[in-house]
Amino acid sequence: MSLSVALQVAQSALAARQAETATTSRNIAGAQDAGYSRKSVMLSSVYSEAGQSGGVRVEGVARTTDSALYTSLLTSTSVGSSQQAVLDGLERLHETVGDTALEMSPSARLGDLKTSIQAYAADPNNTILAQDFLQTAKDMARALNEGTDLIQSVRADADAAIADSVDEINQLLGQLENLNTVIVRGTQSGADVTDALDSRDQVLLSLSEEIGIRTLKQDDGGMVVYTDSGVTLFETTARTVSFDRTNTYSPTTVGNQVYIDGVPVAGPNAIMPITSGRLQGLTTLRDDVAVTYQSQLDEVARGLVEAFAESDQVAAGPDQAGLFTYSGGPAIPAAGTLVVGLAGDIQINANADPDLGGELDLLRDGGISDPLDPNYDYNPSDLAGYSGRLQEYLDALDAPRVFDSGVELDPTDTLSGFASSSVSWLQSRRQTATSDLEVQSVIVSRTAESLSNTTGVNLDEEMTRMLDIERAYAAAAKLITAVDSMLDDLLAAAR
Amino acid sequence: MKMTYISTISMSDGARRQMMGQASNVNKLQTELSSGRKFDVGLDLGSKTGETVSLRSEFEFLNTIADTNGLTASRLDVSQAAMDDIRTVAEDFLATLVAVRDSNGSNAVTQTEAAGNLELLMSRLNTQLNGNYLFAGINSDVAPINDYNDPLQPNKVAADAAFLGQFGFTQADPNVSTISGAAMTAYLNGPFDALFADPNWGNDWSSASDQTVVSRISASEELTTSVSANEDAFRKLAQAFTMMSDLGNENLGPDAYKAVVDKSISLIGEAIVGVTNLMGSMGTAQERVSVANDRISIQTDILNERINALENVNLEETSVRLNTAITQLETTYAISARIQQLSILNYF
Repeated sequence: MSLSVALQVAQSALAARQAETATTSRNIAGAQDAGYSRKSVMLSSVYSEAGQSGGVRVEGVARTTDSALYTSLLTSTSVGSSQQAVLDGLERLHETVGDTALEMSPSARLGDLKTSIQAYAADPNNTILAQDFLQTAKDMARALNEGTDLIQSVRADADAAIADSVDEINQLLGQLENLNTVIVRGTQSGADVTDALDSRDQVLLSLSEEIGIRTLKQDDGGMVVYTDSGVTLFETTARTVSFDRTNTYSPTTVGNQVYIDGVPVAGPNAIMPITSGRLQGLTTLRDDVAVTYQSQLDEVARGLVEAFAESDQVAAGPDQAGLFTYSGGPAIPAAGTLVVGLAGDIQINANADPDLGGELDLLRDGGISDPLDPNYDYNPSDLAGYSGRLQEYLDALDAPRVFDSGVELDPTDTLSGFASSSVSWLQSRRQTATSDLEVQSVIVSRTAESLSNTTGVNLDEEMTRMLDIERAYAAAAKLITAVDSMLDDLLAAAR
Repeated sequence: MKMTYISTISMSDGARRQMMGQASNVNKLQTELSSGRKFDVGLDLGSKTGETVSLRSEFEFLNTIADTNGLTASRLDVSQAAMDDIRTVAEDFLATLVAVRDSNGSNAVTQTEAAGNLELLMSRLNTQLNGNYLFAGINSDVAPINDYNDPLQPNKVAADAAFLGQFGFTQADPNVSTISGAAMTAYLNGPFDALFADPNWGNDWSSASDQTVVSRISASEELTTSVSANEDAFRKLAQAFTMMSDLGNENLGPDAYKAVVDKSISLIGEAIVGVTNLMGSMGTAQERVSVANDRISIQTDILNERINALENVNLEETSVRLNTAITQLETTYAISARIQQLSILNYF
């Protein structure tokens, strides 16, 4: 009988509208949630074997996705967070240079040193000027010492951040495991897992900030996650990411590797090195950028020891470390060869420092390396107007010398030139990293915007859809009333 | 058919992001405008930062050289003035000697004048500037010439001993009048000459170093900027003044006195030429310092210009950009406020 069919269809319409209302209100609730994707109700028509229509049926809830955009969001996020980590480190290394007007870089200190030597050379009998020379020399050594401390603290901080990142990755993998189980189980039983899928996407997005990942969907709704270098991070269960933290860093310290399932993926000599993510940026900072900058400062320090070295004035004895010395003194470090950590070790020779029982006049006369050895005395009769040694210092600072070729700077340069090209190196790295990151953050935000525009919620649409649903619901209800009155009429006629 | 779709969140996010970017741009431009320098010099210059750092060092260095050149110039000026005094008294004394050569009885006059001149020579050679003795070579913290008037000083002691050794009596002895012209000539050319030659000069008269002061007057130019009291000219003057004042001159016989005057005339004549030469070479040094100063001032101007070009912003351009940025930010505020008010709910 058609009236009962009409009633049944109207009922199914009511049920469908209610499901749609529920979905709409879910959408409105999630409108301001960045990870929420738009849900819609899937409907299908019901018909009998005879082909007679029986209304509509709610098949389930679907979510709008765009896997291509999503994948590129994961990738660009990883690249961006890697660049961010390096840039943050460079910004801190930039503290060794500061604004050029502050003149606090090792290169600017070298200029100060030259200036004070020139002033002293013009009046070598002047103790005040000698004090000034000693003070700028101390400042020079201190700038290098403090630079080393800063670089090593940047490395230690990077190491701590790596440990945090590894903890975060392990925690996210744990969440992923829970969500993945829910999804696989729900998919099998046909439950609505769309919210769990949203959450899983969010977890993966967070994971991609820490480490570059690639994902692979399985038929059962599960997901496999690899690092961008191909090491399995997650398949049914989470793999363990492990890292041993190093608490204190000296220039000779080598940081530990990060392991996934026993495979080194980041750090020195990683077998399958990851190429993006914060973890990668932090290891680059710790093992590459900071180490290179340290070795440049070390070479500046070695150049200083060399430039201020004293030669035997009488016999053919070896050169000895003069005003600037280090723990290996009085021998001069081998020419053109990096001595790791020299910048942290360089100091003013106590023989020239009155505060440490030294003799200020040695600055003018030479013999700082060993005041008791007359062979290294440039001014044996201690003549007060002798400026020859001071002029030698000035010449030595501008004399070409050979530096280690492994520190990314021109190996044949003057000491002043080498120090200033180290400043250039740092600033150009910072400039490149900044502009790369600017571009990358535009890419990330555009991708996120596109993804949001494809999968997100528009309140206006939901509201207008709400109007539609209201109308449709009213129509179905009206239909039921109509059928009811028709049945009433029929029953009244039959009475 | 592709439908245009925009999610509510990306609409509000977009506006927020725009505002953040523009506000930070305004902040940056404002800092640049008030300081006149780039917001972050290192970030802006990148690999050129090393250049501005070394230019700044170079600039400071040249300024210091300009300062030390001031010191060098005053050292040269004072030395010139001292030598000029010495030359003047030498010329005057030469004139006196030539005039009195053949007239007896002027012994006492020339003796007094010679003693005064010796005094002046010693005081000029002991000229001090800024705690340094200018004519001491590099042994600049010790007065170069010993005071001949002090009977305990080695130069006076040695001269007395030589006289006593040669003639058997002192300069004050009346027997001085018995010294013959030939004996005096022998003494003057023998033991007396030796007093003013090495090594006696260095032992008795002067503690100056032969090594003269070398000053750096530009980044790469070094220059001798002092004259040592050991120069021959000064020795000859000291010798001439001494022989005219302290050989018992009052009592010398005419022959002996003539021998002394003749020797003095020839010594002073040579010395005047020597002092004039020294003054000439110091004059050249003065000229070079002044040329170096001119060059340094040009160089510092160029360096300064380059540093400014690297580090400073164009104020007009920045102010225009700041105005534009502020207008843009205001527009963004106005527009986003209106967009935020847009809602279909208002029309229900």
